[in-house]
Amino acid sequence: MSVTEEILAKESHKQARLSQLRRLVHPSTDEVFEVLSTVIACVVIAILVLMAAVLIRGSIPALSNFGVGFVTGFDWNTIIGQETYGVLPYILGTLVTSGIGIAIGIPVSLGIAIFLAEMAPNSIRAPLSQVIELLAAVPSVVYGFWALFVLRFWIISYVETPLSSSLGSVPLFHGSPLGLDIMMGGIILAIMIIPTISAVSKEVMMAVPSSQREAAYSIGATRWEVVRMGVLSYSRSGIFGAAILGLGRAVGETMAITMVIGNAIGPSAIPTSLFKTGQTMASLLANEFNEAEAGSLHLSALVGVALVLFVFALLINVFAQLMVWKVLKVKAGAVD
Amino acid sequence: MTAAPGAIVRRGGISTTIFIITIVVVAAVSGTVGYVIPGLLHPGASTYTLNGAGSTFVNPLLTAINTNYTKLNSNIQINYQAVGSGTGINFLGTRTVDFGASDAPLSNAQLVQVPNALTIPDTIGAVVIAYNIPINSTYSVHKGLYLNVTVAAKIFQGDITVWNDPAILALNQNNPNLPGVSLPGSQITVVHRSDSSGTTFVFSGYLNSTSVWRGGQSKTITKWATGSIGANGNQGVAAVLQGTSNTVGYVELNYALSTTPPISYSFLWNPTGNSFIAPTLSSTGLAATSLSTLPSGNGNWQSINLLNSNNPGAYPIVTFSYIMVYQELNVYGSAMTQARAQTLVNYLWFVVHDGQNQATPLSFVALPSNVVTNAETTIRSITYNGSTLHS
Repeated sequence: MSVTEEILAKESHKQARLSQLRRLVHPSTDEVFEVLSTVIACVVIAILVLMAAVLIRGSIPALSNFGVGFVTGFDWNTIIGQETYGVLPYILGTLVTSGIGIAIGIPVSLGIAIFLAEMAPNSIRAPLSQVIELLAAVPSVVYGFWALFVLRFWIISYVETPLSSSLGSVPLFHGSPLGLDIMMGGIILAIMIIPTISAVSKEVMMAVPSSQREAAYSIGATRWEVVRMGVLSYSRSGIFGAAILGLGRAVGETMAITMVIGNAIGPSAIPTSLFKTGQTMASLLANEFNEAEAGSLHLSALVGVALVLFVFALLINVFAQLMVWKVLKVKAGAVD
Repeated sequence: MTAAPGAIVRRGGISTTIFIITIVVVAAVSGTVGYVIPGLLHPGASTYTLNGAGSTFVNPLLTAINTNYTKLNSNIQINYQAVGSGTGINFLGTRTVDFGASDAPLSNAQLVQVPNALTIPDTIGAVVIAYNIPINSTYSVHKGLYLNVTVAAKIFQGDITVWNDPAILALNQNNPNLPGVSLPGSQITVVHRSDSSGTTFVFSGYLNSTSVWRGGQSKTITKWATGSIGANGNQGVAAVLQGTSNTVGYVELNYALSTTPPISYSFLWNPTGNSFIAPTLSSTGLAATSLSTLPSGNGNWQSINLLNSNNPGAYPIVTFSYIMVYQELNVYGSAMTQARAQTLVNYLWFVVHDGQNQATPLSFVALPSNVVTNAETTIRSITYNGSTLHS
């Protein structure tokens, strides 16, 4: 090794050390960005873990008092000395109302999305999409007010009364149609999740490459067949994701449903008929949390309800993930 | 769209950096201005914000009192949050607020939670039984259906299910308020508060004064008649009553008197006076006037019961609403100062005196003089570091 080379090598070594030092003192934007986004991502996880921890800690008195009966019981008595808390009616209420909401909401939303993505001329598509996105942003208490003061009376006259008079003997339609019941709750949930589901589904459908449609047309498919084969099957997982997003909103919806579901409590809240008053976990929390005394078993039971709701939301998301993976596996290469 | 690595993609519009800097600057400036301006407006005087939380029932009255108080003392802001009585006491327990407001006296659990707290009555409330009985199948208002506690309890727990039940008819045989009205045989639907509330606590207390009632007394009752409807708040109950035929429910007096469209409510039996009493501000006030003794401010108020007053003219479903405050204000540590403590005491004094002038226009009941005297004694007993604040 010549002297010159030695000097050069030393020099480059020095340079490398220097740039290392410089990086420590003045980290590049990339590194700052990396650290920042990692921290923020960790915060999200930390919040989730903290939330679960607080809920579990708060619900221990109720859970240890009632054990499994807390989830399977259906009595709810807040009178000191006679306290019993069972969450089953509200779990069922949440399931049934969200189920009705999804059952009505998905077909309608798909109709809207297909119209917007496939049929509507551009001059209609843009403003209509705007309106639908606007509907998704309306606060839920406004939906609740509208449901209580306006929609309720339409549902009584045009849906519930005809159903009651023709099918009143079927247990599912027992009771008098007052418009403040499980059915009304499900309907308002459907109305509230339609904007979300249809807006997301529309985007997913618009993203389908036109080669898909052209291929379908080229083998002589009708318009419906094009939508079914070319668009719907291609965007299946995205639509599924949209539906889960809607279901998430339905399960957690509080204010609007509290205003129209009739807020039954205890055994009478078990949703045996569509025309019965009911209660969801979220509405129960909204109703009773404010007046629950600190340190009381009542408050612990309410935190327990929140825990059940939390677990529910997690399960829905996990289930949704599994479904999306499954759909993707079946239709490998169809999306992304 | 892809860009060569390292290339700067400009999306048009202002650059992100400038945007963020603008936001930060605007936030800093507005924050500083918001902090400084109140001081500029009242040179020399320190500004104080008193925080309170609790009862939604008393909220309209406290809001009016607070607005008035700030008008007279422009350096003092009262920040009252109507979060519910229970939460109000919870906040007081965690020293988050300077005073709590509750429709129910401190329970045994709460007495532990807020040790050495004082109870100061701030107004008197009443609960009325409201109903919607359609005549010729149209909504019509006809106040003054006669009821007593036994019949009311039976209706609300579903033992009486139709309007023309013999028990209801017997009370209303010669009712001058319902001339020529024949009560229909329609199924009665009970409407109750879904949110747990002081109103339900008071109302169930009234029903609980007859052995017929099975539901007990609580802020949440589960033994309502089957098929009953839970509605959120006074507004919710009134909306359901007005929109649904053959319903019966309960709302606060001030709400029943002032709601539009008007709502029908019943007159209740007072055994001492041997008559049915209409719920009015004066018949409500009478319930408190006849209290012979009141507990001291730091005593236990659970025994104080304005229900079924033995005053012959008193309406039977009446309750106090209270403000709770710590007797020794140094429990707040460094968050409390002598001047701040003084401000709080002055404010409380105002609430039970001049503040009561706001009551009648808002359909609340002004405190009778015997209650005001009790409140004065209580407020005088408030101390900061051991020394009293009101002379």
